Amino acid sequence: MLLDAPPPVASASPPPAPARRRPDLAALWPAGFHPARAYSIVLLISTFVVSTWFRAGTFIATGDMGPFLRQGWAPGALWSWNYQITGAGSATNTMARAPEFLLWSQINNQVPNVLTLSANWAWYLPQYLPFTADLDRPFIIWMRYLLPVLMFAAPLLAMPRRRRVAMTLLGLSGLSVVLAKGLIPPLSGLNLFLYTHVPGFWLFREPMSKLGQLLVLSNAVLLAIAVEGAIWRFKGRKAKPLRWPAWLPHPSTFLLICTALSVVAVLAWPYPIATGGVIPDNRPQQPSAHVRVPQYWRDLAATINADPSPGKVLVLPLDDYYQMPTRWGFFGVDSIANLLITRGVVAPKPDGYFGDVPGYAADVRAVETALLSGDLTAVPRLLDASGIDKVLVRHDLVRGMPRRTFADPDILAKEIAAVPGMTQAVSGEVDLWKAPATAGETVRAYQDTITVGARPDAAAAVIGSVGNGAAAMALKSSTKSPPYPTVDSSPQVTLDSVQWPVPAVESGDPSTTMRLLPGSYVVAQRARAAAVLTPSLEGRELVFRDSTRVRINGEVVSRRPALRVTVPRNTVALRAGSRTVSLDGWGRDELPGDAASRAAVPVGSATPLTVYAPSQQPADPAPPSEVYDCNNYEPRPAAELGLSKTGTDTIRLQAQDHAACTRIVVRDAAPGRTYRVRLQYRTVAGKRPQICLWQVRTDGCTLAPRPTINRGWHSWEQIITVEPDAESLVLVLHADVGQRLLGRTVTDYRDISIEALDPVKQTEIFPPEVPQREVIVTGGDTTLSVTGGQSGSVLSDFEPLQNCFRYDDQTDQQAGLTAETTGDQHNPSIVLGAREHMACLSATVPDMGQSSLYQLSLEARKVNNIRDPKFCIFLRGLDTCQRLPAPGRYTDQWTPYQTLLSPNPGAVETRLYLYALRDKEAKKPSYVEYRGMSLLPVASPSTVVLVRQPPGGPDVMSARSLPVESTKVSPVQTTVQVAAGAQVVALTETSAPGWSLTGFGRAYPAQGWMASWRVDGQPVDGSARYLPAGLSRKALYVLPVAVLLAFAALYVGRRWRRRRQA
Amino acid sequence: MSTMTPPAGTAYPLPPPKRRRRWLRVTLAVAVAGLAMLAVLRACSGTQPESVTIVAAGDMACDLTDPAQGSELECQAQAVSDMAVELHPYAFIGLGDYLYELPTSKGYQDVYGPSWGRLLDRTFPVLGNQEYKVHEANTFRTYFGDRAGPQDGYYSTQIGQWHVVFLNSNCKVVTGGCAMNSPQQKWLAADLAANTAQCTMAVWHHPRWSNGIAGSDQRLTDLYQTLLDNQVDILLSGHEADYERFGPLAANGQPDPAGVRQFVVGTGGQVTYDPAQGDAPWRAKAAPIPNEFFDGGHHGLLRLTLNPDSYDWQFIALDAGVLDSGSAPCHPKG
Repeated sequence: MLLDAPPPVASASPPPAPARRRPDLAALWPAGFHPARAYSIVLLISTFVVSTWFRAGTFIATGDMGPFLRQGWAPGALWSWNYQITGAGSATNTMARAPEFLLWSQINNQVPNVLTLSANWAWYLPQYLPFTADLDRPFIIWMRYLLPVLMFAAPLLAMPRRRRVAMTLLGLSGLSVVLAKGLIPPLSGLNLFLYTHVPGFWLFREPMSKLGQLLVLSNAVLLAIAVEGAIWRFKGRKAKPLRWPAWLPHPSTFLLICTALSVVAVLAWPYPIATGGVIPDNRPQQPSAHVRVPQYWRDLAATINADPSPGKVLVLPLDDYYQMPTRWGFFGVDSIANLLITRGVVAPKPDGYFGDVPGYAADVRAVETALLSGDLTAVPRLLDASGIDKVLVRHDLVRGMPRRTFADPDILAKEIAAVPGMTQAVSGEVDLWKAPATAGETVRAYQDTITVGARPDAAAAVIGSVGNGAAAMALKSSTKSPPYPTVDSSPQVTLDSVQWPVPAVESGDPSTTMRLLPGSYVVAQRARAAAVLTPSLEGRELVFRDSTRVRINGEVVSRRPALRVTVPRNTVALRAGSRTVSLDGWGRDELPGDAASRAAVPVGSATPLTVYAPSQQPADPAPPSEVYDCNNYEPRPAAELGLSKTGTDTIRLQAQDHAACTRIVVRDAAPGRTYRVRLQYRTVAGKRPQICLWQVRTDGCTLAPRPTINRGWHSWEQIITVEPDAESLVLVLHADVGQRLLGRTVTDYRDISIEALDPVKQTEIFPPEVPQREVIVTGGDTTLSVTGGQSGSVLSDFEPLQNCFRYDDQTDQQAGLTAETTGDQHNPSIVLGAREHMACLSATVPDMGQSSLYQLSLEARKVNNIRDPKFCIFLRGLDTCQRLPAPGRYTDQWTPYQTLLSPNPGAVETRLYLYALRDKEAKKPSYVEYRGMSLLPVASPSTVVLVRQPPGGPDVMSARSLPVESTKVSPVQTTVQVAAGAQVVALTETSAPGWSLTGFGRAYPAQGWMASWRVDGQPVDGSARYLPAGLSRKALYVLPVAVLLAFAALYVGRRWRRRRQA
Repeated sequence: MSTMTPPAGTAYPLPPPKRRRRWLRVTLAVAVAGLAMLAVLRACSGTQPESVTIVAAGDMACDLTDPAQGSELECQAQAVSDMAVELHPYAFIGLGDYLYELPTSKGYQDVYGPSWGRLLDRTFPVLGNQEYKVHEANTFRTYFGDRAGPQDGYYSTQIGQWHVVFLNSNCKVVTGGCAMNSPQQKWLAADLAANTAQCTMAVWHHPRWSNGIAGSDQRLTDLYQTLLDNQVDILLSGHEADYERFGPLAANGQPDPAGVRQFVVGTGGQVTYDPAQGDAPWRAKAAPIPNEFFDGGHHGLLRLTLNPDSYDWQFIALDAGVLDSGSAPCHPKG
């Protein structure tokens, strides 16, 4: 396109005729303006659009970011360094759990995506980024590559004086790209090293959200340099003018048009941001992201912020996950209280970035557990020990979501109202309760100390059992946690106290022997879960008894009083919470484990109780119908189905194809009526029996436990209330084959009974508290035991091998599924194998819920080192696996697994599944082995606590009474004056180590967390300082100083260059 | 800056007018020729013949282990498919249940492949309930490949001058089910609303109307209503082991000239049933649906000639020739 003609000389050419002249739009620009600067305008417009959208869109936006920075980040920055190197945020701790976490958040961080700024983990998830499919359309997808092309071209196109800057920026961009790709190859080892060894680098877990900003800035400047250089070069070729097509506008105008089009392209590319389509109002299966914090939260925060008391604020219910669903539409990181309230907010965020100090976490969890379990005595003591003088009970959360198990705020509110000393300040969507002001004291003097075991729950249990004048000082732990989940039920014994979480046992009663000093001991039981009470009818009273007894050397020292509810004499069944039991014990003799207490029910705070008696209007069930086909999946003549029903006392159903069924219509059924359905069944041949309680006009069969396929007769009982929309109730019994050519299915049913019941009493019950008492212990070897509790595994026998993931047409044999069981039938060792599909064995828990706390135990190993073992506590009804701690690393050696779990009230059946995963290459079976499977109810859901009353010393039950003078100079310095007499002085500012008190040196933790100094009765007059704060502050100054120095260097360098040029 | 700006009108001398005009003419000619070629290619690629003959059947092959293999009354997929192959159809519409009892890959390879599989390159299959006996109908998708359609099993295409919609009547499996405002129903309504063809046919496995053993499928009421709302002419189904033709029926199952004509062709070779008393328990509760033809004693196939504004049908039975035939115009559109 270049002419060989000599360069035109203005004076040598005749002036063009006016008609030939094309308009030069460059003349319209102000002098000195350069088209490349349009990109600055683009940047400004984008910033404006994005900020506007943020402002109008979500609460985590420009408008709220200011308060967040002021209230949350600024003080937090002081502790961040310390936290990084010591706490759960350290690189080692983070990486121990984080590689998988990092990988999913970096899944799209391939270098091309980073370069084109499309590396986002949610890029292909329309529920999060619904606009990406539009941006990926072939029509415009090319546009994203413009930016990196121009970016890399910048050093080549740049004007000479910009070349160095361009190279520097390109290097910066390159570095950002390497960091922003995270663990995605290439150089993934380098990034892993950084994540593992550089403190705080884990904050770049989703690096594009941070480094992407840097990339955008450097790329924008590179882009401008490239465009500027291109124009300069284009115009600079005056020696070889263009042969310019006549139909095109003037070259200068053409350049401007091209620049304008580029601007439009850059604006068009992120158009969903401009249109607000980035986060739409309606997202599939997600709440809207366009929300605002309700005014009541702001009002509440204003009330708390205006309160002069320095205590912390506890938010209940405790989050079960760091993202919480709210009724006002927000479902995200639960930081509302933290953002709005300008003081310490205690709201742990499980699975979030920041862990808790174990001692403090134990104290806080103990508060909620005590409230839910009716263990109210412990609540004010634990609040005091946690520095909490305000409690929020929020009712604005959405409950009942799958896999979400946070506490019921209504129950918490009812219970907290009964806690001594609590007063309600605000009532509404979020209640505000105030504890006595002393609970929030920043500096306190304890007149007594009690040494407690090193385990965090030991301190919490002791704190809940003594007065707030005693400080619990934990021993240092000398044991290292094993690399797999375990339940440590060993007693924590010190000279001053004993804490013993009552364990689960296979049989008999749990007991432990320890050496104690002689003297007087306070004996208490602290709740770990709801009380387990066994109901019985005594005349006109329904009596709930706790059958457990705490004994010292065989003598009963602690027991729970009985709970009595007046009921009609003919009461036959009850429903407490989500558990229904008959009082006659029908069918319980065949249950696994300890059958004696099977009718027990967990009774926590405000447990709804419904009592049933036989109805005045007896049930009117029709006789079983003739056999009929209830699985007509493929039209076939009746003669080919082989359906039959025989017998009267025992009904035998048989089917060759489809399903042989008989139905019993409950003729008097009406909405609201309650029936107790009982029967026994057994599998004779073929597939699993099916029993359906069908409420006509509702959605299918009522959820109920699945019958077992194991041989022998099994009892089945359901108490069911007919739903409001149902027209009638039908009991359908099946023998279901479900597929032709598979052989017969034969099932027997007998002793079928349907009784109508009436609810005769509905109320709420609360568990009676176990009173504390003092006992004299003679000392020496002392045996502590709990008698009368439950024991023995509640798992049924394992059922035959199943295929839990049949993804193609191979039979179980073809897929290489095997199960080999050895050892005792009730305590087997099982080897499972699978080349393809997934082999599984399951054992049900026939009566889950008779205890409030269970211990799951098993051991597993890889037999041929192909795939890991995998197991699941499956919750039927919720149709999900229970959330459990992650197992340890599996090898060919046995890896134990133990955890405590509570029954899920939403599950109609609980079943343990053991799996063998397929070989990923489908070449040879992967074998895994399991043994020692058990699900044991704990003998008592209490922790037994003994606290020694020191002879001649202060009463451990006394309240804190020593006066303290203190002034908070800054978050890292507080002056302290305490008169003589205190044993310990403590500061509730923070759990961070590094505090020092004038004259008493470094602090160590009291009450599980707070900075404290043993002063042994001496007076105190000095300052408590956080020593690392000085270093942190200096570190914070580095950035602004570095920026100022950089500007100065630039200025000096410029002047030096000018002088040199001059 | 001023040094970078050439003197206006002097730095870029224009070429002579003659050369400019020639250049412009050549450019324009190339552009016009290119556009014309694109238009021709586009038109050619979408061309469909005026009238086409297709065949349709469902419920074809027996299980490899079925004891009825080799009998004269059942498992006749090979013979029926021989008839279909000899007809050299423009397309074969599979009405579901291609392979009993478990649709294994081996079964597709050894039983379906040598019989109906000979028409694989022109088969338009819908999903039956048998296909879902394997997780997500994997073997069906593997065998039919691209011809299996999208994962949820509903799509549309053009056959001859007809617009044909293929739907998934496995309502428990398909995402959102089959009811009004389900994803499938909304897709169907949108697809039919955008349809400009004179004649339209719908295909799904379970018959909305049937006097066979299974009877009419009530789950499909809303999809059928959508067909009515959009003046669909024909509905093809399988599932029942018989052949049944209905006249145009309204939503209540009564004859209506504006209704949809349904053919049930579950006679592809596996088995046929002429329901006896007691085989169809639904009859005790509901009156028979008024039909125009029923045959439960023959294997066979439906031959359809799809004209631009009408259609002809023949039910050709194995060893018995044409048992049912006729023709009808498409609903007037507009």
